[in-house]
Amino acid sequence: MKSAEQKGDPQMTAIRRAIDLRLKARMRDEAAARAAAAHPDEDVINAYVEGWLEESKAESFTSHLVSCASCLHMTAQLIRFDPEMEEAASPSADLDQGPLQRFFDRLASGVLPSMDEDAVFAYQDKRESTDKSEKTESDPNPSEPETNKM
Amino acid sequence: MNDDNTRRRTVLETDSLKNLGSCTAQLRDSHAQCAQSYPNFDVPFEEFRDAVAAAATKYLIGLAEPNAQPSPAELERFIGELKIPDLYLGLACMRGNEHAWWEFDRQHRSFIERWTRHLLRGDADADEVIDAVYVELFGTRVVDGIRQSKFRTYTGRGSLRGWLRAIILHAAVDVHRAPKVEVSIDDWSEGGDDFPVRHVSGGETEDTMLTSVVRERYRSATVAALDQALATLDDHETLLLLYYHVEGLKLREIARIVEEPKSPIRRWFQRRSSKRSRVHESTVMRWLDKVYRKVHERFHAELAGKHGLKPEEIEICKAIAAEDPAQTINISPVTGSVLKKEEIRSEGAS
Repeated sequence: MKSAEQKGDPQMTAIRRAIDLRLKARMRDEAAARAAAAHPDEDVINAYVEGWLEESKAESFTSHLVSCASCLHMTAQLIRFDPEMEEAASPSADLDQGPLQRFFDRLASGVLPSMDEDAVFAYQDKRESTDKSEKTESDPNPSEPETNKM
Repeated sequence: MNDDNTRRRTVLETDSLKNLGSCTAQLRDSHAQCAQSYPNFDVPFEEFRDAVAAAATKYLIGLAEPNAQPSPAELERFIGELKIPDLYLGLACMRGNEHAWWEFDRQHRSFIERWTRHLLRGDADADEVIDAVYVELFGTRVVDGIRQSKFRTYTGRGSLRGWLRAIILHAAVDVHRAPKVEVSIDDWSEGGDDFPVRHVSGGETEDTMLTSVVRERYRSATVAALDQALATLDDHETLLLLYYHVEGLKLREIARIVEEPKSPIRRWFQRRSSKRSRVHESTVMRWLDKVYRKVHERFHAELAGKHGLKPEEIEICKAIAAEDPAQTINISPVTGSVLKKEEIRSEGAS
């Protein structure tokens, strides 16, 4: 069965576009509102993504996700993680010195950042920029579902 | 090397779990297996037991009702699901055991570097984040005599590697002091119902002013109806939309998490589907399609019912919502003028 979009239903195209714009605007507002709010820790977030939360806790976290841009983004990043990368990162057996030694060596050489200093870094996720530009090149509508291209 | 200043928790969670005693044999067996695998880690049984108790308290207490205690069977299952070797390694690292740190590096250092570089796509920045992660894992702050190693927060409920991914994500954000949400604000720049009041210049005609007032009315109705329609969705349906539209997850990425046997989204989907077939991109697309239709129907009903709009007015609202540049919106029945979509877009962004 073809989707409404594949059939070229302008009503569905319009509502999809409307949903896309509205959700982005809402999550931007949520991000600002929740900037200082309490969030579940990494242990809970990972347990959710890996599917280890008890059902009632998972439901509760899902409710949090739909209104918390920060945690939504965190879980999306974890979902986006490529399992092939994990396979490539096999344990290395050729460590020549202990990790604590290396840690303290770096600390002694002043490489580690001070925990008390504020620092500002310019940050751009080049991968996302690349993704977006590729998407734009192949598809003028950034919210077009992939099946449209099939 | 043990660190006497490092203790997992000041309050023993063991005391708050009445049925943990029934699992002592299981705990001793798990601990013995770990100690056999890693004889140099030197994690006392009591500390191991307390860590498991803390995990159970965090994840099992209050599931059915507030402060409800997990049964012996629930505890047994829970302990059986824990990533015990990962937890044991984390506990030993938290204690500052050098053998454990060596093992941690052997198992995870390469992964930490790869994941960080994958996230940042910039080696210089990645080194900064990797160092910050190690600082956090080791713990340089001491509070009340306890070194605040990040391993204190790892419970073994999920994999250590998955937990590390989340730690690195947070560290990357902290290091760069950047907001985590990179939402496009090209369109619909004013969220919520607080759309800006359009300033009318002295040169504008009465018709234009009237058009502006009418447009604002439609715009307000559009936002309210769309929000109401979205509010009727199940949280999982909303999450699906958010992952796809806001986070830009691909259909295959969404499909992959649904394929995970214990995924919360999978549990939700299975309750709504009689089929147990594999989830492909097309399956996810069908779910999305279903949600779009649901929102569309509700949106329509809201505009017609609550806002009392006629079909042609609803079409105007749809055009406003979608901001389709190719569409011309004619609101002449009300104002006698014709607006092009580009005009609305430029004013909406002001």
